[in-house]
Amino acid sequence: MAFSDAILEQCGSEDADSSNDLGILWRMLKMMKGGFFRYLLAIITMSVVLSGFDMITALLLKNIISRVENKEQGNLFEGLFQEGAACVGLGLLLLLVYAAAFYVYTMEAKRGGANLQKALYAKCMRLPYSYYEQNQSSDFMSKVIYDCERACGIYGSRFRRVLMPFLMMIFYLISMLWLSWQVTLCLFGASAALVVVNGLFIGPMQRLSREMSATNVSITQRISDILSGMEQIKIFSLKSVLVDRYVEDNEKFRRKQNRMNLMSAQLDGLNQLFELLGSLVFIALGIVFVSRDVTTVDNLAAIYLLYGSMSWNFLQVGLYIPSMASYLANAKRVFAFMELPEEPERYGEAQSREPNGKRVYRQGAGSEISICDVTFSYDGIQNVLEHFNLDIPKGKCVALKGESGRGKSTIAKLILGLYPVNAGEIFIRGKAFHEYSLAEVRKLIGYVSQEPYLYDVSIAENIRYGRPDACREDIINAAKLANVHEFIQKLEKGYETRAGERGNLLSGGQRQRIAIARAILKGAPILILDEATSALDHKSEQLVNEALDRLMEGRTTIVIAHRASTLAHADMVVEL
Amino acid sequence: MKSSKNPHLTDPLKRYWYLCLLYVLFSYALTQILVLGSDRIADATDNLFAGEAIVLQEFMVPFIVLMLLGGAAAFGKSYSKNTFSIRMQTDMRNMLIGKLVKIRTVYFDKEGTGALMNKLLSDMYQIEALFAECIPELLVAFVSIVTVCVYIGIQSVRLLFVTVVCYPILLWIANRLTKAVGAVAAVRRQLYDDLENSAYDAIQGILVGKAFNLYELQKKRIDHIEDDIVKNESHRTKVLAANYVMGDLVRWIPKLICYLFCLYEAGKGRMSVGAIFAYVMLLDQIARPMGNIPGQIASIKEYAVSVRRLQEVLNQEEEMSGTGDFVPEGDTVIELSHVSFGYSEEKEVLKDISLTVKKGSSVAFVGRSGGGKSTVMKILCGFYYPQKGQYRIYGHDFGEWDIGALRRQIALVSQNVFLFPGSIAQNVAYGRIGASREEIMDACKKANIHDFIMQLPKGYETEVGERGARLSGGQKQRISIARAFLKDAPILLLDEPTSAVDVETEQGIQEALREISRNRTVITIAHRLNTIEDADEIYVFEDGRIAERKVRANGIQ
Repeated sequence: MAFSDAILEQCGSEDADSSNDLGILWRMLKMMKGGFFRYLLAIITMSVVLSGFDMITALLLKNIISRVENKEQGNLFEGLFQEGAACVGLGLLLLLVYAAAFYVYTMEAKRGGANLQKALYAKCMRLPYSYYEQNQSSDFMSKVIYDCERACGIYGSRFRRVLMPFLMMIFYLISMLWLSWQVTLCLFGASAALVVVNGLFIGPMQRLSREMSATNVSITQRISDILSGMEQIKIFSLKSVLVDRYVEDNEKFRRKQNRMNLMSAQLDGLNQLFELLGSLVFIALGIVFVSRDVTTVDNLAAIYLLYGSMSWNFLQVGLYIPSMASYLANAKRVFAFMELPEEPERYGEAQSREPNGKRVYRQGAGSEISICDVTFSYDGIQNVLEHFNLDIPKGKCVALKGESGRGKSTIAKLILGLYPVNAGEIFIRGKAFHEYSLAEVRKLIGYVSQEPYLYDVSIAENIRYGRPDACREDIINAAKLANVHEFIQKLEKGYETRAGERGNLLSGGQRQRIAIARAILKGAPILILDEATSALDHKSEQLVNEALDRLMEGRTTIVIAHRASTLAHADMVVEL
Repeated sequence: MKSSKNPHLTDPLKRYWYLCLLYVLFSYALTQILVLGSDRIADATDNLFAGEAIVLQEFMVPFIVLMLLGGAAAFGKSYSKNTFSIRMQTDMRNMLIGKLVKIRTVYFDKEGTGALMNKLLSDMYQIEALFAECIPELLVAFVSIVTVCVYIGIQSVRLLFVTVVCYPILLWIANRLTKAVGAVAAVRRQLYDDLENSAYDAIQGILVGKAFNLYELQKKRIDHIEDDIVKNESHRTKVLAANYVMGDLVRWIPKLICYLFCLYEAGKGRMSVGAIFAYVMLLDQIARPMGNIPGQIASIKEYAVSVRRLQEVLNQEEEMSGTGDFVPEGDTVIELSHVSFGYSEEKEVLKDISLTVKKGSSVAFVGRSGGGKSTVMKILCGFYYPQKGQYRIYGHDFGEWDIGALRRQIALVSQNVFLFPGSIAQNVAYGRIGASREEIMDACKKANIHDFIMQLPKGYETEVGERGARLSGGQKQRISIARAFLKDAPILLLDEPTSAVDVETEQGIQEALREISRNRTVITIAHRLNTIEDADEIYVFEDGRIAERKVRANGIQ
């Protein structure tokens, strides 16, 4: 299942070597372009505001305590109103600034994420065809989508979650030092102990969490198996076997979780202990320092408040750095994907394997398509086509026949430019293949595949894809010629009916006819038909054949044939 | 078969409530320890002001004891909480899967595997968060608030009053804002779904995309949704920003008022500096949980949706089953009389179907897709139940049969073969659990697949399925036939077994099928004519009725 792959990837074997992490982060941030400065500024502003808030509170407390301390002097409430009002006013102002910065930050993050996604999806569509054949679309897409979502998470939260507490920590530290550097430095020592303890736990916990993810994947897998194999489970009475196996895995997962639980509970206990230790150190120090007049109680109270905020932020940094690293691993995979080679605009001339340099290929006279001495292999080991020659005269219909694996579909793919030939040359309408760009070649070809794909947009739109600038009448005409107009009209929403995921609301015959309408609308001079292997029922077969006949009229056609009737129909049959 | 015996998702709570209680107790202990600690510090501060000399040891020793106790309590709190959540989720998952395999087929058809998978995974994650974070945190927030309030109340009832009045008003405002966020979130989810669908769509149709030069068009389609997302985010962010501001006010304003009130009290001589100090420390302890309460409540609402969705799975009706385990004997094997069936009330897929299948005969169903052939097959397997009419097998009504016993009489070879991850041997053995290696190999020989399996480097131990070897449709089909051989049931149902296979491999499968059909009662659904050459009887289905019945004199015409 796609989902489990995503999880597996997350805890992947080749986890980020951290030396590279900063580079990837930098690359991510650079992708924001001009937005980056607004983004960074917003984060800094937010940090200043939030820490400013706490500082105001701390100063107010200091003020109050110093008033109480000196209350014998009788000026307990003097100037309090002004100070209080100033505090509230400043606080509200800061909050508004915060809201504005938050807005700027979030929007820049979203824009950055959207741009990354756009680029990624565009990349997904520009890969060479071999990539899609080698990788299941749902497989690689779910990986890429998952990685990209996590990479966007760096903009959206991870980067801020690391940077903001870090900045705030520094702000707090500065103001604490200003209040009393002696107390602050001692407190800092106590925090250092906390860091060391937490650091000790990181390694084992990460290892365990990786194990847990792996187990989780297998649990997910089991659920997916049970759902997909439900029919078999019922008819073969496999309920207990599969449920037992699931329960067993689940139990394994539970035991791992429990180990993790024990570890994190220990860490929680230690953290609590150290936190109390911090208070103890603080008060003991306070007693010593105040009694020696190094500092005052009001300063001490303010420091205590700020110290609480500081250590909280400190923990946040520690908490989010590992998670940032794991997100960066996803970003790294996104970048690796973006660097995959794309389908070129045009193919170069095939390197000839002849020892004495280039050979000149000559196309057959009057041929629409000439395949000259073409050799092709998918894997570079086994040749599917070897010195293959075929001339297709203009306006004729050629049927390709033969067992699967002999290269029928390969010929279609080569003509469509989905793969470059290894040797030899293909001429189309008198020009060698490499003289065309791929887009130009494809403009000349109408293609109806074995299981025609319909996009999940309206039927009208699906037909329009044949010629994007076609008007409504053109579409309807094409549908009429393809024998599908009547059927579409009968649908509740007519041409605006969505074809549904993989067009699964429609039957095979209906889908084929819509694909034929698409090819008719395209009006290309060359037609490639890949006949469906599975039989349609009689009536829809008739409708499809009629539509095909109209489509083939006046075009040069290559049919990958599976049925005897088609072979009889063709002007020429080539057996592979 | 009513829902009274359906388990409830929160049933495990009955077993593990004590862990939750333990968690609350530990939390209480921890808060109490923190309160005591603050108290000690307050005393020390007052002494300091009074200019009394403090003996550090006297102060330190009890504090160190508190510290150790605090660490222990924090450990217990964390451990009991996580144990609770882990136990809950393990039991809930087991419960769901146990239920899943018993649910009627109609539900899977209606729901779709993808949607169901999504429920089981993502909703389950949500619920894990509910038990791991949401509920415990809410509980502990209440515990800390109550404990701290009691302490403050003992110190000064007036101060408690001010604290308790200040906070809830702002909490209420924050809560209102959370609701606004929820509404925007729904739109957001929809947009993201659209984006993902379009992207998948573009890639699955890449062949068409390339052949028709649709790159720019598809890119525009995706970019458009992306832009919509950013636009929607702008709205959402504004709501969120307002929400954050409110959240901060909740934390801040009351604090301010309380400080000022402290000053007032101190002025009246009712509070010492030490008390103020302790108060400030404790206020910090409750301000965070109080600020989090509205958020937690909002999350609980969100999680409740997941609970409801999963409970819906648990509430599904289970398969019907009688208790009878009858011996397969008699001349009439299958008998449908006046059977009607529809997936929904309005549209009947089968209308008044009657047919009889004699022992040892071979029957073929033909007709257009949507004619009702496959639905009849599903009724025969007991996946669907006739809404009208009767289905008898070996002379006993379907309702009398134990469903397992009934299915033991039937072997099914269908068009979409599913192999479970595991070895080939394991997959074949699913036909009859506990079959010996010889029996498995024998079945594979009969299914014409043994030779192929032996060619594989790992032979019968070759892993198949999602991550295993890629087998062709024909190979998978033959493994499923071997599975059916091993089951050795008297009735054989073939649901277009060669539709996904190319002509060359079809030959091998036909041979295997002919072999397995020997001495069995066979019902075949067929598209191609050659698949039904051997049939004794042919039923032509049209629009849910039997349009024609052809009987052949001696099998092949």
